Amino acid sequence: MGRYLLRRVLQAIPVIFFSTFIVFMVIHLIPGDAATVLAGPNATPEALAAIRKEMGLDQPLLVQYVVWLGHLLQGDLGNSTLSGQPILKLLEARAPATIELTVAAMTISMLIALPLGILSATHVRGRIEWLISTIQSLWLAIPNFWAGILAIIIFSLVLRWLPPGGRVADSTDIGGTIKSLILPATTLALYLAAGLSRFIKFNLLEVFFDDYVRTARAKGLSNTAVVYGHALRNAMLPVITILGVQFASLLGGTVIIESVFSWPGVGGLMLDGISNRDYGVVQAGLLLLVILFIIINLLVDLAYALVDPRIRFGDT
Amino acid sequence: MVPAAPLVRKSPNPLNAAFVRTYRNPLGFFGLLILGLLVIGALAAPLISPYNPVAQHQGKELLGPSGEFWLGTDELGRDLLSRVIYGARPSLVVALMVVVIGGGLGIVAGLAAGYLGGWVNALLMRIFDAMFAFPPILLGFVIIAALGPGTTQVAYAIALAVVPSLGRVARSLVLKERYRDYVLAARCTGAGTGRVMFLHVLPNAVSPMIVNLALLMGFSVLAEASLAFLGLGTQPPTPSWGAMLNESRAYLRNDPWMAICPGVVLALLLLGLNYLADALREAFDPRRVNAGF
Amino acid sequence: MKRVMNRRSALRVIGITAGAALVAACTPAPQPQAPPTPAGAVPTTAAISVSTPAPAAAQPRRGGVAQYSIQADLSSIDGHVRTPGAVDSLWLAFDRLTTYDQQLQPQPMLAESWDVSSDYKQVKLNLRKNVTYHTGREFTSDDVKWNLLRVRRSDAASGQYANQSNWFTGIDTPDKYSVILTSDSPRPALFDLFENLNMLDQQTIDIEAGPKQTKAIGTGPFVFKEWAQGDHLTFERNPNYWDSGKPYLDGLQANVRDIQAATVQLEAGALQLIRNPLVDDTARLEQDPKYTKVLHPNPGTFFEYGLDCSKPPLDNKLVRQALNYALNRQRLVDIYRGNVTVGALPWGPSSPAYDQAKNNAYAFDLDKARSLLNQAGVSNVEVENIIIKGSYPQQETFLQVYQADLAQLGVKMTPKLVDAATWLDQANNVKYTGMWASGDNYSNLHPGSLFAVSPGWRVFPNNDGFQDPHWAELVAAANSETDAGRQKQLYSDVNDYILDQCFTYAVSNNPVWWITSSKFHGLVPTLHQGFSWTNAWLEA
Repeated sequence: MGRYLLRRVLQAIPVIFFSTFIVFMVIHLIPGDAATVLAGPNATPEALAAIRKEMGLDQPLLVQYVVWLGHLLQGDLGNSTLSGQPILKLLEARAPATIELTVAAMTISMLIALPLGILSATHVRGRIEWLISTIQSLWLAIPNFWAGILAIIIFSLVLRWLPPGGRVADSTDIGGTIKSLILPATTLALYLAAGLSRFIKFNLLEVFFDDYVRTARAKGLSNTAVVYGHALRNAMLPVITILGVQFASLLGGTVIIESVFSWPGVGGLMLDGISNRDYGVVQAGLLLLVILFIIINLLVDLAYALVDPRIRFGDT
Repeated sequence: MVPAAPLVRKSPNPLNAAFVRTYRNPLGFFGLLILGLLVIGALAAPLISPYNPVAQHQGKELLGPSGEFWLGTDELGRDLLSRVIYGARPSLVVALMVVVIGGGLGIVAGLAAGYLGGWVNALLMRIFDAMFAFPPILLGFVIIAALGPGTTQVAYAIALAVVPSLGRVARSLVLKERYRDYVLAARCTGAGTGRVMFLHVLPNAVSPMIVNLALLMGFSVLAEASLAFLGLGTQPPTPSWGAMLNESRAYLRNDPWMAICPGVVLALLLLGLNYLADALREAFDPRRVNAGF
Repeated sequence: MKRVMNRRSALRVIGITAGAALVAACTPAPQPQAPPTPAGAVPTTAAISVSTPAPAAAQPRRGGVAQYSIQADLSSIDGHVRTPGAVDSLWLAFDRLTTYDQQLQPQPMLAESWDVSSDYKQVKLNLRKNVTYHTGREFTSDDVKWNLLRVRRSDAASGQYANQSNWFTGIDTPDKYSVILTSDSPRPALFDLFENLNMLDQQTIDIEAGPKQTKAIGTGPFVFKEWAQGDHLTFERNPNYWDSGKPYLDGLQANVRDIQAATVQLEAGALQLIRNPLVDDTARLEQDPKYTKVLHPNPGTFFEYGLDCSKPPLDNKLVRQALNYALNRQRLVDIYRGNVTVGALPWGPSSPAYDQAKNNAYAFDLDKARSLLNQAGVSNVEVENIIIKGSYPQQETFLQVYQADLAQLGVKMTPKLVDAATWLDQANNVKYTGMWASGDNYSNLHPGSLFAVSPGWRVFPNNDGFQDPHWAELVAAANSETDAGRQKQLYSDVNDYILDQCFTYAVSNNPVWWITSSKFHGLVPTLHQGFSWTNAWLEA
């Protein structure tokens, strides 16, 4: 187990280099650079060149990457090309918002998806399943910016129960914090749950016909015992993968929800970073996401190995 | 008692039989019908749409449904019905490209990683990790910023973005199958790795993946809408469902009809795909339905 | 968001001075004048409504924090960097030397009085006494000199001001409160510079950091407190402001918001005012007595298309004129629901070059366009038109109208929505194919300023690749002609020239309006694109 972990950590290092390198190259390929943005529309060519030189953007790409790497190894994430503020500070400000939103959304999503999935699987070909399936499809068809605006209109303008956006980050005002979190998290969660519950249903159905399930039923166990005691655990393997997938994609992928609900998260930070060619921000954000992602993957694989002893460490 | 069917699967992929079963399934039939109608509608767009989708009728902007314009008009007085019909084209093209390119690459990679294990698995998983960590929507943003906006660029961006997730899911499903007795049996009978991978493991693992692929088509259109939200994707005035959804955003409070039209067809598409996916799943495993709960 | 994008890089902000604000500042009870509705708007424009703050019907109340929205984050808190969002946020921390009233007459701000020589080659400014920066240090003539010199630095990202600052070859500070500026040539537009140049604090500016400043210390009515990058900027009242008793508001917070989210937040009461909401929302909120629309009468911002004059077929001015005739500006009025003025010339009503008759040139005429194309002997023209996505939603919609009209001429025009950095790279280096679309400013000041500063109009190099010695002569003359009579003739020649050459042409103004809660009062229009907030106040 220890050797396995060590191997995974070692394998992680090239991943980090690889992804940051690729991203570095790709975003530099996009026309325009940070100097263009900073210099503004009325800049003379001399001003542009001077700013570019001062920012070190006239160096070859490889050199710039190595410089960034060098700073990184000293623990310096650099400063925003726009504001000069330390990027670490920016991330510190935004990361909690994203993590809050992601965890809340996934929790709510599981709370909805699990019962729905089980219900669908146990009533397959029945009216309930058909109803759930239809609602899911219809729900998925609603783009999340739509659903978001509608939710705000209903719960904030009409009912006045919840705030119309913005994040309350006050540890003394737990009620306010939760209230500001509900709408964005639920909007996200419903969207996730639609896909997740289907996936749970399908995986449950897969295992229902496995031998051990037949055996269990032949032994006389009730349906409930079979479902919860046996089938669910095995069905959850791919579901765990999906959860890991969803979590990772949510970390940066909540851009639209962040925009609609004015939620100051990492997604919006990185989007601005790309638009402004604030390379340092994009690199740092990506680094954060890669590391988090690697950790999640590791946990998922460990969970696999724990749940299904047939999957040996050697193969993952 | 009729003995249960043998546990070892027959290798040849009974595709024909599967599709016949799908067709006979009422849900599957409905799904195929919807999908078929949408595709035919897209192909026959010039024949069936009442107006040119980019023709602007001045003075008739933002109208609701009427005799003249069955679904109303948008902010430039263009007929929404025509735009919805033509809008199927880029949306379906993107969805198809994403499924074929993204799905194909993802499944093959996942299969290789899951079955072959070892360094293949390690390499692929690390590549996926690297791609994965970059949020899909931002990845799309970056790719399109580099390639320039447009329908095919959007398709490439979305396809690339889904490969890692499909690959991971495929791998996990393959892992479930890999240690099954029938795989062992197939290998014992001398089947080569490739044969085992593609003829034995793939069909069994793929069954749940069809669900993913069907849903993926729907997600592609939504992803297109999300990218349109950021100003990328099909460029005006070409209609696509995603772009129409995005255009409708500005008029949500005052003319919701503009959003309802593409929204409804999108819902129909997803519904059809879901039913189809359900039916396909059942079709590939006919005995499963009869396990009965 | 966004996803959303940068208005600032495309919008070259031009100062609009708040003459009314200064007049109000000098009288005991603040009574902002009703800004005049622009005369001679092209017919069929609905009358531009202007909300006039009710004179003295309610007394300004001291207190309250105004929460408002801006659509794009600033790129810098350096007061010498011009970004559209800055004018109604960052600029509130600064003062400028003078400020224009709506008739383009300079009014005192940091300079109390001045002597301009009759040949406009020298100006002596007498500075206001006992003005302090937010750090407590007194503002003196040395600060004026520092600011004028700083914007000339090549790393200062202030190309806009460098040009005009370089007019003054001599800057003398005989005493703490006097500045004498001397120029070799006449500079009739000198107050345009004073209108727009913020007076920064030399002690807190890190001169080596260029535009990457972390502090924004000025002498202005509000003190800059915090920039949460991508989310908001916070300001507090300056308790020692030289206009004592003001500002009324305790503080401000400019929130970067997606415009739809901002609209909902306004309606939910989380924001007190929002800038340029979508036209349909504006129409709806206008009707609601809970809200007021404050439309800027003369922001000096306008929208223009530029053409690549360095390559065929657009190097032929007949083709460019044809494209201008294919522009159906009236449809833009429809799209804006009347909140816009259109015209072939960029000038606002305060500009000395404003010409109502010539503004109506290039009325939509596809036949004329067709015959011009035939005359030029070109067919199958294919061009793109790059525009920054998200910054001008109505103009993006209008591009599709233009596209359809051009299609009738056999011209294929493809709008290309790109992000700000891409746009800047392509436009500034003339890498685009055919056309670009953008906002611009300074159209309400002296024409020479626009031509000196804007990359769409200035003498080569410019965004159009346009080169003509005659244009250089006209621009030079516009910036040095001091005689009022000759000026009139000169501006008339200039207008004829730009209407004839069509290397860049104006489409419409770029309207600025706020939807405010009806409890919010006191915004006064300036001539630098925004409003003065010194007199703003909130009812309880």
